[in-house]
Amino acid sequence: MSFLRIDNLHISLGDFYLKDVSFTLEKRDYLIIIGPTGAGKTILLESIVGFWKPQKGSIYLEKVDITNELPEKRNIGIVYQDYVLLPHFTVFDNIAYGLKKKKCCQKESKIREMACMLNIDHLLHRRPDTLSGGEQQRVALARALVVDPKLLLMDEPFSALDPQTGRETRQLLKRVISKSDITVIHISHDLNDAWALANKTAVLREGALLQFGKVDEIFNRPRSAFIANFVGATILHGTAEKNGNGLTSVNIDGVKLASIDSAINGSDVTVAIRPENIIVLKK
Amino acid sequence: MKKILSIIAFLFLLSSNCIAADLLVFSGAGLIKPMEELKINFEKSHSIVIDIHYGSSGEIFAGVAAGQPCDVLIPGAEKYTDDALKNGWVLENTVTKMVLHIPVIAVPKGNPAKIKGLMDLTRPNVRVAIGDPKAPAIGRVAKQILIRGGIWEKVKSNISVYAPTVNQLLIYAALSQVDAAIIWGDLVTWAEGKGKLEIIPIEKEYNIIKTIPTAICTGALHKNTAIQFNEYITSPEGMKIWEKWGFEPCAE
Amino acid sequence: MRRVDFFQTSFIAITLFITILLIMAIASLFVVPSWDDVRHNIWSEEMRFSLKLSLITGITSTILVMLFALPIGYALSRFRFWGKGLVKTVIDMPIAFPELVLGLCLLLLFGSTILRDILASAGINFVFTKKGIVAAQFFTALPYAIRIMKSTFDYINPRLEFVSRSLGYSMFETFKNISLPLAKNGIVASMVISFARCIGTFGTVLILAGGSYMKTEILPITLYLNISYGNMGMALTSGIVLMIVSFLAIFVFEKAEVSL
Repeated sequence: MSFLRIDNLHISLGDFYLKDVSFTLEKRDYLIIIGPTGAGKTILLESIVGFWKPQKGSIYLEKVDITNELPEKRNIGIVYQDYVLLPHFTVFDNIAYGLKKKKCCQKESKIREMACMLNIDHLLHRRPDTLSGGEQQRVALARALVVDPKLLLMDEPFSALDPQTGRETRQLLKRVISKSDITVIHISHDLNDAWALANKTAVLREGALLQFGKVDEIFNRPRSAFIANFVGATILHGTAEKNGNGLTSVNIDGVKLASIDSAINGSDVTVAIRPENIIVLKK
Repeated sequence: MKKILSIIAFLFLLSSNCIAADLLVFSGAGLIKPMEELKINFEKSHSIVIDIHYGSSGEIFAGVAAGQPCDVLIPGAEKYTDDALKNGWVLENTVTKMVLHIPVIAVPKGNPAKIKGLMDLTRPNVRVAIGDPKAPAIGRVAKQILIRGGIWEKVKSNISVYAPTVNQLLIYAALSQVDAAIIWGDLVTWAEGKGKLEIIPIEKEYNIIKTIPTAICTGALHKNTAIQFNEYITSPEGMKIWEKWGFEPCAE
Repeated sequence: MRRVDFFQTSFIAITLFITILLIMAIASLFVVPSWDDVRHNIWSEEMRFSLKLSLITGITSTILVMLFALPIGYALSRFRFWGKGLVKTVIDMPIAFPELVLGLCLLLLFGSTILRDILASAGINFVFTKKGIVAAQFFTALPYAIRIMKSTFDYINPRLEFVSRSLGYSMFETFKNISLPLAKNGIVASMVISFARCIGTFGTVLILAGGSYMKTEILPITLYLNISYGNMGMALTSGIVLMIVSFLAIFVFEKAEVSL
């Protein structure tokens, strides 16, 4: 039985909407969601946390239907691109905010441990507006993780950071995640995030889930020209021809490429070629 | 730019036009209806511009006292012209009694408290409105009438509002916020005609009927026009307009 | 370059012209009356009554206004509900109303509908009473307070509230812990504007509460009453007192904004 199951989720919020999105995740899965702007990625995350009520469909977490559960009862953490730290609290109080609500012991040591792991233990007394972007995002991560959420949702957590800081934060995140058994959904526009962090990838476009699967599946077996192009393949158009040895041959302006995929003889087809599959040999 | 300049020039023209009124009149606010009609008629027949400033009697009296330019003073009661005469602010032989101002009791349509005369105002739970005894002339007069009737102390506890303006008295009576209001008869003729109010006369033995005077100020800048204007508004022709709006001419 | 210069100087000149005019207008209120007169008037029974009543009703109304403006401003900023556009228009309407019209509307509402009987059975009467002053001030100031509160909440990132809820806090706790503290400056601004508006309300109070001497007499009524009594000294004194109260209110407002 799956850890998180989303069934036919349907939401409409003015310009943004989701239509019939379904997928499942196992415990410790790390899902990267990619897709163009306006695809409904953020809405998907926010409806999993419970900020928007779906018009149709349901969400199950650990076999419990949480579709109509209040956000505060779900124990799902969220981290945004713009950190959204509480400006009237210190860093320490920001991280402690969620813990205060829980009846647990050693809050202080828990906070310090988390801060150490994310390299922000020297900033605990500071105010959020005195921190750099990378530091703020690490505080936001600590705040979400310190309460041991069942699920961590991240909306482009590195995209407001400069590339160097982004890479460093990604390494830190990877280390922290690997020490826990948390399940993660992470929206990103950086395909490297998928390779570095995820085991699953989903492609969203105009509110619909186009493809969902293992990371290499999305990259190597894209289901449509749009996905192939989005994950970096070169797209060519040609005509399918029967080949003697059972392979399909595609005629692209006179150049013939063989493929193990099948296609009807004489039909117009699209061909996707990943850059790593083009082998250039010196003369 | 030329456009702006011409607009500014136009504005100056307009404002200078106001200053250059051919006659300045200070009038009690309660007289606005007949005064406006008299004003228009006089302006037409003499092709001049009259500027009338309306206010409570106390207010326009204070205006004259403060030396504001004024040709004709028409307050709501003789007391003001008398005082002005004592101070030498108006010319003695110009003070003329014009029309009567008769206080009445105005009651909401249907007369819910069954008021039949002044003495009914003393009944418990009758809500009474009068003008502020210090502000509009009707306020002071109402108080005097009640004192004269020997019922001021009794009615006082029934008074739910001392209105600073006469118009409030009208609104409160018409909207049944009070059961009775002491107000000038001329003010309610219009509302009575429309069926919003009923009028209960005040018994002669208690009533204090005021005369509305007109006078020309000592400092009048347009004395001749002022004399002509006063002649017109006290003429039989002028009296017809006063009567139309519910004022009774003085017997003399 | 010369064109820009002309543009700039003429706009600054217009600004200065109006500023000087306003300063002169305000100053004349302080220059015209004799100071002995003012001193005498300020300690008069009427002035003390009027000032005290103004402050009591003004503060009461401001508190009531805030109790309503906070939830209404928050609802208009955050929630989607049926008829929201209409609600916004209706709530803003009293801003465009002349005070006298608003006063007349309230008089009709509280004086001649079923509402009067319901309120009367609860022992509340708004017509010609001090409660009426509060009601008149409340409805005059409320739209301003709601506007300020709405735009204050508009400026607070809703994601702050989302995060708080995801960390286990209910909507109300989130409002208390996040939205209210972050709206602090807006709340101060809104209170001061409301208070200034309440203290200065004339027409609405005159019609609903009657404006009776030493009974429902607040500062603007004192000013008006004494103009009609012809007592200019007292009228000017109440003008000065009103001016000082408003000035203090705006001063606090500016202070609160600076600390933002």
